[in-house]
Amino acid sequence: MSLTVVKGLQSEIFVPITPPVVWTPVEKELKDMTVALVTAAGVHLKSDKRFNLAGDTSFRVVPGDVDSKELMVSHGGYDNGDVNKDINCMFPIDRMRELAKEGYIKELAPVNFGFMGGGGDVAVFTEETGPEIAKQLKEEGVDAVLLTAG
Amino acid sequence: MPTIIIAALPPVVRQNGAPRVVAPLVPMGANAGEPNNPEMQKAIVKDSLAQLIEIQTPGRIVSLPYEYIAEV
Repeated sequence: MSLTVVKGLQSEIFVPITPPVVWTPVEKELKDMTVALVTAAGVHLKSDKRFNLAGDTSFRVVPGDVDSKELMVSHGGYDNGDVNKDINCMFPIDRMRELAKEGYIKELAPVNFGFMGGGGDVAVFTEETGPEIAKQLKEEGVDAVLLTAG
Repeated sequence: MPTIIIAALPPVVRQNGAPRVVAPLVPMGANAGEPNNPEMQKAIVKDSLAQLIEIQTPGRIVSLPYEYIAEV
């Protein structure tokens, strides 16, 4: 017995699709790694253009030697109360520099990235924003990335 | 390149296909720990980086023993 009444009928309910995990093996010890911070938390320099809170697929570069007091957040998707007090609770740039100084990692990357997650045009994030950030990280010789999001 | 993500909402991160995940007990917006608590933040960052090496199973989520409850 066939239960198909209308051929090609699709559900109107959006079903999220979990993409397959992309696995890149680790090849170095932490003490030999240049590690970048990348966040979907909307972090950028105070002098940068703010993100469009209604949806924004662009990204901002955060130099590794920036004073953390020069950083801020524009993101409409979560309570900014904590990051406004201390950017390190979402973008632990001072902690990464301390760990580099102690030799736990080799160094913080010269370029780090902030973009605004929490929705928006996922196709553009997947096909353009993400690959462009990855390309720039590779060009700077980054070995691994610590992300904050979700 | 290899990545590790600090998640406040591990199920969301899992659904997005993240390869390596750590999850301290934190609210969204303070993934790396309590504001102005450098000890907690540093411990979370250090343990997260350690898990970058430790995790061998794609999609694995490791809980971290730190807790911060935001006063809203």
